[in-house]
Amino acid sequence: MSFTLIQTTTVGAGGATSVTFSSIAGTFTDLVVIISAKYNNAGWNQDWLSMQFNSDTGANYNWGNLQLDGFSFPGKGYSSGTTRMEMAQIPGGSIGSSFMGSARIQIPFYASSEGKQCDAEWAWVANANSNYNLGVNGGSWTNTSAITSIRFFSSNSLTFAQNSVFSLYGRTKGSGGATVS
Amino acid sequence: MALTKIIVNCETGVTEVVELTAEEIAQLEADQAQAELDRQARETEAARIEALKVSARAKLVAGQTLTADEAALIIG
Repeated sequence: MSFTLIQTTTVGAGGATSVTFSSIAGTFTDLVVIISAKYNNAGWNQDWLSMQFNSDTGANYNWGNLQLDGFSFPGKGYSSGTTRMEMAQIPGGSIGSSFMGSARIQIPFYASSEGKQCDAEWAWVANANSNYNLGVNGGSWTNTSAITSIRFFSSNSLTFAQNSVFSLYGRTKGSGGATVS
Repeated sequence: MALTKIIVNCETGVTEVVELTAEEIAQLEADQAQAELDRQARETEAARIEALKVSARAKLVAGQTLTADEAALIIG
């Protein structure tokens, strides 16, 4: 198994409303996205980081989550037939500026002809009571096309802060093992 | 400072920082305004529930009758 950095981008001064990786080749086995990010917006402790594939804005996504946080939010949730896949909580402008949220999202067999499943683990922990959240998410895209682009954005139209980093990796399975028939 | 979106072309390696169009900005501002109202509503509801908890706890300790909302908070 090997990892290859496909592309990485860092948000500049002024922030960004979305980050898109386009023209992703189908040559890897899986995709893995590593994110270190936060939002600019004052008044917000956190917000969901959403994903869309291949510019699909239709109600073709499903997602669920388990989370443990200091804000008494529901510890679990599920949404089906949504227009985006919510995959990680990212801290907002009300949290100290030095704290970024961390997320790892993996998309196995992204170029297969089956519907796509994804999972994520994520966390952000600041230095005050109740200023934390961590969890896992899962999601699916009911489309059999190979994924060639991924767009990340806030569910509530917040903007990514300067120095937020998005890195897209390709994971390739090794040649070992056997196929059972 | 202009609102922007980042597009990374994985084939060419070129990263574009694209300014939002007037239409995209209008939609973003409308979405943000609604999101702010929703956030405030969630905070108001969370404060209401917290106040119910405090009240219910005090009434239970004092042996007083709970309101329907307080009882529902305890036993669902």
